[in-house]
Amino acid sequence: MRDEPECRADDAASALPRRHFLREAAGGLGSLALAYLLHREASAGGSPSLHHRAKATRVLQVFLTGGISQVDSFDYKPELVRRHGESMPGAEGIDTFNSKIGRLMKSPWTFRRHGQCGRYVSDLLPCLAGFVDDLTFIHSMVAKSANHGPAQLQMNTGFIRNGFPSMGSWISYGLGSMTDDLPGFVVLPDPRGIPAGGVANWSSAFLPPKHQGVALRGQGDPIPNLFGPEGVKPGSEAEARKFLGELNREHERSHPGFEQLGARIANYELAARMQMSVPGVLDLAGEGPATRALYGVDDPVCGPFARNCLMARRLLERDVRFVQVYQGGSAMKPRMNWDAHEDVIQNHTKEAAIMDRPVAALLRDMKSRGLLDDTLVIWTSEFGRTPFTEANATARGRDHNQLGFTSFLAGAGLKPGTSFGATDEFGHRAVENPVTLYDFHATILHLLGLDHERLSFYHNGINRRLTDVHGRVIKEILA
Amino acid sequence: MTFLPIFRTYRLTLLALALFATAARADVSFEREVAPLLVARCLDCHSGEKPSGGLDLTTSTGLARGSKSGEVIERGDPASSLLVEAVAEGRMPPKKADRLARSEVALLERWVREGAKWPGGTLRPGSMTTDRRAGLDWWSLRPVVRPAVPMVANREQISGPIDTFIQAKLDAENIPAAPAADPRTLIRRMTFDLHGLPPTPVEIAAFVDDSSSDALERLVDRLLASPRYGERWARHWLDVVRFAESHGYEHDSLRPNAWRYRDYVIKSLNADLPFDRFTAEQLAGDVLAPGDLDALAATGFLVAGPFDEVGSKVTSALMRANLRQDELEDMLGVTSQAFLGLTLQCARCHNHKFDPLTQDDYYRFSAVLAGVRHGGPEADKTPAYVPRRMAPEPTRVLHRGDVQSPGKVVEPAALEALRTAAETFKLADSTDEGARRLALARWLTDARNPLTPRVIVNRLWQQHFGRGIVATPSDFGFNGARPTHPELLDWLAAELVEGGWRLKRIHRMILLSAAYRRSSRFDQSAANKDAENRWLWRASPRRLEAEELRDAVLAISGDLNPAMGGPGFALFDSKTNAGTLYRPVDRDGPEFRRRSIYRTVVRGTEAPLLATLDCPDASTTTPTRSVTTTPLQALGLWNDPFMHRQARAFAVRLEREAPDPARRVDLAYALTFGRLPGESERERVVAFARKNGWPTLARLLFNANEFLFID
Repeated sequence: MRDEPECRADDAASALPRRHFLREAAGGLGSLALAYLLHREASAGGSPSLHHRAKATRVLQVFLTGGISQVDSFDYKPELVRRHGESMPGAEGIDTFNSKIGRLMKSPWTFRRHGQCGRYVSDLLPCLAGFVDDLTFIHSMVAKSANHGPAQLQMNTGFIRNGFPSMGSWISYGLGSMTDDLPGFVVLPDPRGIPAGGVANWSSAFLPPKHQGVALRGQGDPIPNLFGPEGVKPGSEAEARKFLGELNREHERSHPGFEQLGARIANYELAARMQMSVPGVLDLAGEGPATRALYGVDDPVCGPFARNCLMARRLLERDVRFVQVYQGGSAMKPRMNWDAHEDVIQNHTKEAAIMDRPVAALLRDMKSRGLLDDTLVIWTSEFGRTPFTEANATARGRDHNQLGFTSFLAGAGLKPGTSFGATDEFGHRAVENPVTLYDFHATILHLLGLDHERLSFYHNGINRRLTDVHGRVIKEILA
Repeated sequence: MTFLPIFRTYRLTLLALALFATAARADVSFEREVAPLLVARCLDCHSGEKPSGGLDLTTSTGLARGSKSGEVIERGDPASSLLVEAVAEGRMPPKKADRLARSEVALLERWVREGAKWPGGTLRPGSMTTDRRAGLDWWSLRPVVRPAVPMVANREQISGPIDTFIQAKLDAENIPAAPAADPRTLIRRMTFDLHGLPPTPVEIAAFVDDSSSDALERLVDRLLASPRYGERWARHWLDVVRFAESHGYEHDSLRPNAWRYRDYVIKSLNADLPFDRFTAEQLAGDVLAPGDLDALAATGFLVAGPFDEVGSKVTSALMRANLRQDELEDMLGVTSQAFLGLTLQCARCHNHKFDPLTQDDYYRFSAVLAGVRHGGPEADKTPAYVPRRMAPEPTRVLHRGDVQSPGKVVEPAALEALRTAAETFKLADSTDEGARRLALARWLTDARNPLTPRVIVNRLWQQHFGRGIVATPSDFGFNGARPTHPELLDWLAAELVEGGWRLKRIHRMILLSAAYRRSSRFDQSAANKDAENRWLWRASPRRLEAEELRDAVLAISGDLNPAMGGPGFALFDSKTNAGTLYRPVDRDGPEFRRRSIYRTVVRGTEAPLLATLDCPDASTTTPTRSVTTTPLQALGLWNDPFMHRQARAFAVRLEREAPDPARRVDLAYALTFGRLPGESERERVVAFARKNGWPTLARLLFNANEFLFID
C-alpha cells in the first residue's frame, strides 16, 4: 500500500482564525431585512413565498463538469478490486455512450477510512477526506442522459432539453433576493472556460429574466457594464445621474399610476450601490494570509479556481441567494474537465489537484464562520463514470455513466456524516434507493422551504415545475 | 367485495341523503348531466384498448359488461351497484383530489335508480368541456362565425366595427374611454409599433401640421409600405418560432446559412404575402415551389430550434431514438403552438390533461413530420439551414412516450378535435414525405380551420395593444386565457380570411380604430375597475423592446446603417474545437450599426445589453416577452460601450446640425422624445450640457424614461 497522501492545506487550516459570520453581529436585523425583502418581492413580482419552515436560506453549488468517477472518489467497491481485468457481467445488455465495453478496472487510488464516521475515501481527494464527518453522501444518483449537454441541463434545470429555467433561477424566483447590492443568482465559471451549452446552464428561460444567473467574468468588469469605459469622469457621472433622476421624476409626475417608471428610477440607485459593493466582494486583498493559504489562492495549479471558491464565500456572506461554482469547462481538447475517456489516472489527477483543496477549504471556512448553519452546499457532476474501461487504444479511460453516481450535500438541515443509497457491487448502477434528479431537486427546494409541487410557473400550456411531474423529497437524509 | 362497516354506514347515509334531496325531480338527463360527468371523471382511465380494471365506460355495452370484478350496476338498485359504491366511498376516482362531490355521487345514484338509461352512442374521452378541462365543444375549436356588429348608443369614439365591439364592453362595464391621443404621441407610438424606430422631427412636424381628413390614413399607409415594417414585425414571429443560428446543446455549432429564414420572414411580411401562403411555405415550401430558394428557406421554420448534434451520433441506439422523439416534439410543439395555439406537445406521454388532444393525435401529427430532421452532412451544402429529408419510417404510438414501449402504427392525419370544423386529412402509411407536410399545410390554412386565423389576428392585436384578445397567444386551450372580446376576435378572423389572408389589411383596420388612437391618460376610477386595461379604456404605455431600443439609439445618433438582408453581424467571439464556445464582445463599424434583426443569434451566449432588456433565450418559444426592471439594465444602458459610442455620435450630430445650444437641445428632444423642451427645461439642459459635455447629455437622454417608454 502506498503512503497516505496529505492535504496541503492542513497546516493553513490550523492557523485559521475562528470568526463568526458577519450577519450574526447584527442580531435580529438580518431577519427583519429578510422579511422585508420577501414581502417586497411578493408584492412586486408575484413570486411565491415560503411553503414551510426553511432549513437553509442560501445555496452553494459546486458543479464538476465532465463527470467525476464515483468508483475513484467516494464509492468504494472491493468487488471491483477483486474482479479487476475481468469482463463486466451482463455487458451485452449495457448501453454505453462513447465506446464498446472494455474490462472491469479497479481504482488506481487506494481507499481508506476517514473521520469519526469511518467513511471510505480514495487517495485522490485527501483534503475532502478530512471533512467527511460534515458531509451527506448520496451514492445512488441517476440521471436521464449519458451525454454531457443534456445531462448538465438536467442537473441544472430538471430537463434534458434547452429552454427550461435553472435551479438557481427557480430559487431566486421562489424566494426573492436577500440583497439589493448584488444579483440573487451568481455563477462563477471555471477560469478555463464556461461549460458546454453556455448560458443555457443558468438561464431563467421562461421565468422573468431578473432571475437569470449572472456569470462573473475573470477579465474586465466582473459583471457586464458594471463600469463605463475608461476615461469617464466619476464626478461628472454622479452629476449626470442626479440630473437624470430629476428629469425622470418630472416625467413620472405627468404619468401617474405607472409603477414601472418609479421602479426604473430606483434601479439607477441600486445600480450605483452595486458599483460600490461588487468590487469589494471580488477584491481578495482583505483576506488574511492564512485564508489565502488554506484555499491555495497563490498555488500555480489550483490558484485560479481557489480564487473563485473564496469569492463564492464572500458572495454568500453578502446574501447572494444562490452561488454556483463550476470546476471544469467544456468538452474541448485537450480536456479541461473530468471527462476521462482516455486515461482516468492522468485526467483525474490533474482535475483533483485543482478541485480538492479549494473546495475542502471553502467548506472548512464556511463552517468556521457559521455559514454552514444556514447554507446548503451541493457538490455534484452531471453523471459518473463506468467501472469498466473503454475498449479503445489506451484502455485506461472510463465512459459516461448516468445509471449510478455520487453527489454530496452539506450544511443546513442534513444528517452529517451519513450516506444514502448504493450502487451494485461494481459501482455501476444504483440498486438501493435510487435518487433521480427530480428527487434531488425536490429535496433541495424542500430544505429551502419550498414545495417542489407548488413552485410553478405557467408556460406553454402548463404550470411548469423544476421537477416536471415527478420528485420525492428524500426525507431519510434530513436532520 | 369486502369493506369496513364504517364505510357502509357512510355510504348508506350518503345514499339516503341523495334520495331525499332528489325525490321530486324529473329523470336525470344522460346527455346533459351523466355523460359529461363520465367523460370528465371516469374516461381518462375507463376507455381505450386496455381500460382500467377491465371497465369500459364509453358505451352502454361496456357498462353492462362490467369490470374484472363483475357487474358494476344493478339497474334500479343503486345500493347493489359497485359503480355507485366505489364513487360514494371515494375509492374511485383513485386520487383523493379527484373524488366526486356529493352532488355528483347523488346524480349517478339517481341515474342508476332510474334504470341507467344510455341514449346515444359512444362517449369520447375528453370530448366535453367541464370545469376541469376543455372538450370538443371548446370555444376556440368551434367554427369562426362572423358575428353581427353590435349596436351601441355612445358613438363618440367609433371609427369602425372594431370600436363598436370594444365600446359595447366599455358600456357594459361602465368605464369611460380616454380621449384621442395628440398627433405627436400618436405618430411616435405608431412609428415604433410598425417600424421599431422613432419618427424623425420632419415626419412629426409634417403629421402635426397636416389638417387634411386623410392624414392618418396616409400615415398608416406610409408606415405599412416601408421595408422597416418587415424588419420590426419579423422579430415578433422569430420570437414565436425560437429562431437562432446555432444548434445549442453541447457543441452549439453555428448554422452559417440560417439567416435566409430570417430574410424570408422579413421579405414575406413586407410583400404582404398572404398568411395562408406564409404558413404553407414554412411547412412545405420546398414541395409547393420546387427550386424556389425563398420557399425552401421558409422551411427553416421546422428546424429553427435547438438540436443535439452529439446525441444524434452516440453509440447507443436507445439514446438516439429518445433524441429523435425529442426532436419531433420540438418541431410538432412549435408548429401547433405557433399556428394553432394548441399545446399538442403535452400529449406525448398521455392524452392531453386539459384539451381534447389525444396521444393518437400527437403521433399522427408526428407522422406528418416523420421524414424531416436536423443536420446531416448535406446541411452545410444547402444554401439555407433547412430540414434534411428522408423516407419516413412507420410511426408508432409510444406508451407513456417511452421508445421502448411502441404500440400501434398510426397514419399521418389531422387533429381529431378539428375534424368537423375544417377539411380533414388522413394519409396512407406509404405517403411520400413531402406530400405529408403539404397535406398539413393545406389543412392548417383551410378557410374553415378556426384556429389559424384566430391565432394570427390575436398575435397582431397583442403587439398593437400590448396584450392579446386572448392573453396567452400560443395557448387557446383550457389553461390559456379566455378571450376578452370573443366576437371581435371572430370578426377579425373572418375579415382576415375573406380579405385573402392579407395581414396589412388587418393592421390598417386596427391602427385606424379609435381604440388604438386613445391617449394613455390615467384615470383612477377606470383603473379601479380595470387596472390591467383589459377593456381598452386607454392606450397601455409600454417600454421599448431590446432591439427597438438599440435601433432607436442608432437612428437618433445618425449612425444607423439601413442595409437590409444577408449574413448577420456577430456580437461575439467564437472558438471551435470539439464544439463551439461563444463570448460576447463589443464591436464597432458600419456592419455592426445595422438593425438588430440582423444580429446573429446563437444559443450559447447573449448580448449583455439586449439581454438586460428582456431579449429572450432563443431556446424556447416566446409568444410574450417579459418586461423587467433591474439594476443590471440600468448599468447596461448607462455604461455599455455601445451606449457611450452612440452618445458621442449623437453629440457630434447635434453640434453639426444645430450650432446654437438652445436649438441643439430642441433637436435632441425632438429626436429622442418627439417633443420640444419647455422654456426652463431648455435652460437647465443647456446649463448641464455646457458643464458636463454634450456626449454626457446625449447618454442621459438615452437613459431617460421618456425615451424608453411610449405613451
